Amino acid sequence: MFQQKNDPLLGILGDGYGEEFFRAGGGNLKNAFDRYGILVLADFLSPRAVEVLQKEAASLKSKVYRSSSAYNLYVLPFDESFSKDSPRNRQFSTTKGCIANDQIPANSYLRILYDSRLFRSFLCQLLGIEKLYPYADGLSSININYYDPGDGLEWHFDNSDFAITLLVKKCMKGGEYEYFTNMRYDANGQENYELVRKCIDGELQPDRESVNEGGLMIFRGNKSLHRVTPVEEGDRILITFNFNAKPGVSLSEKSRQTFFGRVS
Amino acid sequence: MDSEKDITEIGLIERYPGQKRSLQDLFSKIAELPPQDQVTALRTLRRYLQESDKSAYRAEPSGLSQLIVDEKLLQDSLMMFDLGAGPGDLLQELATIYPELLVRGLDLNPGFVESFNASMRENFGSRGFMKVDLIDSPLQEALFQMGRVSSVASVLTLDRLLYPKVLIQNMARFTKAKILGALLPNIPEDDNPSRQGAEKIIYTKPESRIVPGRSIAEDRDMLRRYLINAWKKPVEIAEVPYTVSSSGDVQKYDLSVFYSK
Repeated sequence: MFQQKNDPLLGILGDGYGEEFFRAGGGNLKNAFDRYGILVLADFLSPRAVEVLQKEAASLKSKVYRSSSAYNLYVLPFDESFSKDSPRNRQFSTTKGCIANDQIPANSYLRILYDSRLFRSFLCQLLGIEKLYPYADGLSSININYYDPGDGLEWHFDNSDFAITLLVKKCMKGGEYEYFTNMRYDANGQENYELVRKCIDGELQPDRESVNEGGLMIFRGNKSLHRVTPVEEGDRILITFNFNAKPGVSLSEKSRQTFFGRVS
Repeated sequence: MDSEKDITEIGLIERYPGQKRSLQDLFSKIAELPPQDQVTALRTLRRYLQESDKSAYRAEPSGLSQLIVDEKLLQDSLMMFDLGAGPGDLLQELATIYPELLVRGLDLNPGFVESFNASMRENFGSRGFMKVDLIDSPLQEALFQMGRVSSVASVLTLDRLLYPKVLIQNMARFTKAKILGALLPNIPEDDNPSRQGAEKIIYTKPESRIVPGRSIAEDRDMLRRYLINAWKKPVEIAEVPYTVSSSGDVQKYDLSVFYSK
């Protein structure tokens, strides 16, 4: 599975990552990932590759679609059986700019990483998934997200089982990743609204992850409440690599309209 | 490497361009230290660079690696981290003994780091690499993600640090085996007779020391109790032979190894 000597990914990885890492890591890291719900691979891309991606992202920035959207933590419609201020219905927001998959050059390092069989095999082992598929729509598989001062991503749970991000540019102040691990459901598998309330009301301290440029993060965001604090100084560029466990799945038209300003 | 000028960030980046980002981080960390500690850190770095410049430093860690094998310290570890790995002799040996083990090292000396990485690439592919960093300042959080499936060692470092307690805290965050190799009594000064005319460095200020360095028995007992408290695990002690070749001297030590499983 991991014999991929000609995988172009090997040319852009940081020191200590390669076939041997993926072979040894896939199975061994799974237990830790299952337990903690997060895995950060520091310096995953080489400094040179990060530099190239920073330049590419800068050259694309004039084409970003900026969006501001409001949602509840669960990214679900309003539930009238709960009050407006309940954890179930309380409103949060995100503001950012986004480059869609179809705007990213065909020869981008981002595509090398996304398309790498070596990388996908590693992810499959880690996530316990047989195969990973790209989004069926042309916009959602790889996205470059730009957070300028004031931009941020407030508390929420993801809809997808896992999120894969690569930090290309770190801002100077703010933009911290905060999360509460594996706390969404109670012992009976029901939504734990009281615990969620304590989290968003500041009664509990979140974990913080300070990822450096070139760091890859894999995260079970559907069970862990998380946010990115507002950028205060400088700008932050984050790539999201989006996969599905089934073929032929598209992001909803509503979400595409919200984040890309178009559906195709 | 005789002048202060030689250890500027820019000078070192010119010599070791592959370590640019790590060296920038290193100098940022040093710049945040109190002024007197900055002086000590830079003098330590300048003197330590001589070891890699002359290719003069080698350790012979087979006694320690045999202990690691006998006690099965790495049997469920994905990675072995060596904090203060020097030229990486222990990591090289463990990578040979355990064909699936990934090895990672941190060291202050970019010369050691670059030569280790070149050798690893040649012989072990992506199984191992080393990075420039201070081991007695809080380490990058992401490292501890791997610490959840990793063991950690630090050998002959405790008496060479500004803040040895920070090293012990860093080690505590690795969840598998922890291995600390130290010379006892633990005397925090550089009295290597081979460095003619070199000014003596006192690495650890009295208020930062873990043990007083008066006797082997006292230091062994105090250090063990300190580690049990810091690591929250039982700590065993063994003595192993450990040989270091440095600038023409061959020094044979009885290394006291404190370890928890």
